[in-house]
Amino acid sequence: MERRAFFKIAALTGAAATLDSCGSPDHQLVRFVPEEVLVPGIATWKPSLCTLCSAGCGLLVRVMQGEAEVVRKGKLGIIKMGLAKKLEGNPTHPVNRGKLCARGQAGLQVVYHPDRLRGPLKRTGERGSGAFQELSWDDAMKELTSQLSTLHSSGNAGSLAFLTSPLRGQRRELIERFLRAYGAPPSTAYEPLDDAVLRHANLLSFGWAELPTLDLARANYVVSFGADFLGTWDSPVSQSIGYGEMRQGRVGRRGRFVQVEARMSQTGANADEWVPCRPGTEGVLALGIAHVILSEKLSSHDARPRAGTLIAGWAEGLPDYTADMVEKRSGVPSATISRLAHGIAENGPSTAIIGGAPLAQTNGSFNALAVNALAALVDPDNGALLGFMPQPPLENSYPAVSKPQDSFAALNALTKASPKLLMLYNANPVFSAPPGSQVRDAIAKIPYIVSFGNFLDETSVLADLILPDHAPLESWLDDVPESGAAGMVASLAEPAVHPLHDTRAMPDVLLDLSRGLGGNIAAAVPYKTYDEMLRTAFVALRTHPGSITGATDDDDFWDKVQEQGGWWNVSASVRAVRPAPPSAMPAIAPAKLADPQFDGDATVYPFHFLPYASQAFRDGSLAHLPWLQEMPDALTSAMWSSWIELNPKTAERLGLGQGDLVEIASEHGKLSAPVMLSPGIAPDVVAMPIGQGHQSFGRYASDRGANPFSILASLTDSETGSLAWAATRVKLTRSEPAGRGKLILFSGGLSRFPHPEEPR
Amino acid sequence: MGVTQGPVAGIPDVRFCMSCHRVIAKDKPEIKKVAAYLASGEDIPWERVYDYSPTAHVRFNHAPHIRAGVQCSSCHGDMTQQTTASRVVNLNMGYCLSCHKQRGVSVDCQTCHF
Repeated sequence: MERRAFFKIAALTGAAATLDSCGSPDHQLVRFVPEEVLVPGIATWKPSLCTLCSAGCGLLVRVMQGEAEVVRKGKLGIIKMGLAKKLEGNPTHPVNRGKLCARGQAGLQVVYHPDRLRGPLKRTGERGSGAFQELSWDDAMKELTSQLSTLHSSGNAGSLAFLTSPLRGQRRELIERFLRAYGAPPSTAYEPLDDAVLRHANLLSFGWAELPTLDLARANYVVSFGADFLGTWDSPVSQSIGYGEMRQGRVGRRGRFVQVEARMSQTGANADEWVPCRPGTEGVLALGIAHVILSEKLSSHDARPRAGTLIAGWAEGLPDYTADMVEKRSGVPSATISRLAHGIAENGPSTAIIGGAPLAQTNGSFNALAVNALAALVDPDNGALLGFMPQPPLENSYPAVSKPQDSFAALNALTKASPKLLMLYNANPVFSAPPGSQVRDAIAKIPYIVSFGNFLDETSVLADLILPDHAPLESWLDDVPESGAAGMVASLAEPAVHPLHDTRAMPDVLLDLSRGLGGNIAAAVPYKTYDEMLRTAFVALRTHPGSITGATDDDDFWDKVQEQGGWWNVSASVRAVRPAPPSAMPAIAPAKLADPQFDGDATVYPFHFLPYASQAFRDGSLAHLPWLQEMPDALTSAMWSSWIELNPKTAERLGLGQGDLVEIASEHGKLSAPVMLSPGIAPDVVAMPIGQGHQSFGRYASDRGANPFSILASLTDSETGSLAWAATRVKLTRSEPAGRGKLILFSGGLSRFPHPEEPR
Repeated sequence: MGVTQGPVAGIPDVRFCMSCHRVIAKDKPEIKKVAAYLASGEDIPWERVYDYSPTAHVRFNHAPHIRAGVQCSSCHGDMTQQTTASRVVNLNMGYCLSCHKQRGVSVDCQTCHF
């Protein structure tokens, strides 16, 4: 454009614009009186907690005055309020120490999501049709109180079921006390990628029914059997910090890391050595390594750790687990087995960890016990790198250490018990339970369902009444992280922002219900509000040594806890805090070799199907957040898509290219998705990320991609009843008519392979 | 409001006005209008008078000006003499620069355009 012309235009538009904002209102919406007074233009950082995975990281939320479009008393208008602008990790929180993962960052989108439920709803159409109408909180509470009251007085209190995502801390405590006083069974916590197998194994091996806290910063040699510890397993941010120290934090020493798995994960891509292993044989491999260590006396440590004696044949040096036998079963060459054995035994401190697919087999418990035994053999004092977090001295009515209830088994028990009233809180089994469980039918039969979640998903859309909770950043939050720090942690956060919509905190709703029901139910939870319950619980910590010192009285202590974001008593390394295992460890008969069982005839279904928790969505509960849809997958750069990872040689044999639509079928269902060529997967394994394939979960997640849960067999781990989600076999067929699947890649893909199609 | 601490000169909400005008001059028609807003839960729909065109890419921070003792009337005119707020001072770049030069303050582009 000509220079003079440009300036002329700029001057004109400039002049017009300066006159613009004089006398012409931006829009016709009313402005509500603000509910809080903030100095404009100045941001404050408030502590909060991340609730998007079970790690329990601490957050700082940047809050600044802004304008939001809201509905107040039925009128649409604008209100000036504190808005959350950015999330960062809380530098003082012992689990994540100021860091935050991508999922945590996307938590901001939960608050301002356009599909968030804005107020109570009552079902008007067919169940699951999504037809709801608004009603007031007064009416909604009256209805639910009357339903609960009728159920109770008719002697059917035991038919109340509470299905929730796994909760900890006082939130869970409130629910359990309410249910117990009501006369209902304890809540059912459902998590599709449950770690019950590992918790059970840790209870037997080490006396702690918990996920381990790893001290990777001091490790010299780590062998991970399938655990995506930098991505989605256990406490990823805490582990990533430790991993960074392990690799670069010590002058002259770089810890070595070996990943054993059937499909290369993001963690596996960081390994010095990646060892492909037949699905379900990881335990055999671990014992093969232990056999070499024992027979060649490579380790100077105690050759009979307790975890080892849980394996049949350990005292004799595991004579059955010869290199040949292990090679035959696992496909790992005996030279590799020997090299790993020397590596892990001669480069202490070292450890072995297990997670993910190896646990999701019918012999998952065996695999876990085997790896625990290997870890105990190489780790001096039974756990210098592997620790467990003791419970902070808060009063809890649910036992801290017990036989961990697996959520798949618990879900099946719930549906079998045919409850008459179901309370639903952020659990979505209709999406994630395998078809054999027939969860949707079972839940749809329940006479009355109320949901407290703040989105409509496949399960909550079946509800009769919806009482939406505040978004996490609008709520009083508390948590007791299970792993990730060396000591006791009780996190706490007051709301960072005012509620945007006409929602109510679920704990406060429960307290209102208890008052409405009266009697012993009200007496069991005698708090006006949830924060009153939190305060009562937390001030009891004042007499215990911890991170908060110099508090003059309970009020001062409570203020300091809020300021800090919690209370903790941690040390620098797990070694300093290695509590004695509580009470007696259950005795079991030594575990004999257990081979994995797979569903589907191997001649008809020649491939192992390996769904995996995706970086972005984990179990699919985060697929509604567009930042996570937009986030390119670390290994494939795919976004907004589902795909099936296939070994290139297998693809060539089947005549499939990158992006071609392929149909995967198991005995239980079928789905279609585009092919993603990946060298990091065994030729007889196909893998697929979990998370897409939602049917009703808002505008960003619905009708996108395919859901791997929908074709899984309902095989379970033999010891815990946990869903063996890696035990399904499938067959592949080219889709007819042949089509290009919707595969969107951020980058050009692997350079060796044909360039993928342009995005749609 | 907030003009000594940060960039934005905010205006307090209607409750601040009513804290006095609940009693002071409460029968005057204009005051009655203000009371009606609070009663309906709405805030007074103020309209912005002084602003920069977005193409100018100016970010103005009140706080250093207030702290330096610049009078409000130098840029906004004498509001005590006005019944309806209007732009009585033409805030073009020359106006800002002349005062900046006079006081020996930064005339670097990035001071205001960033």
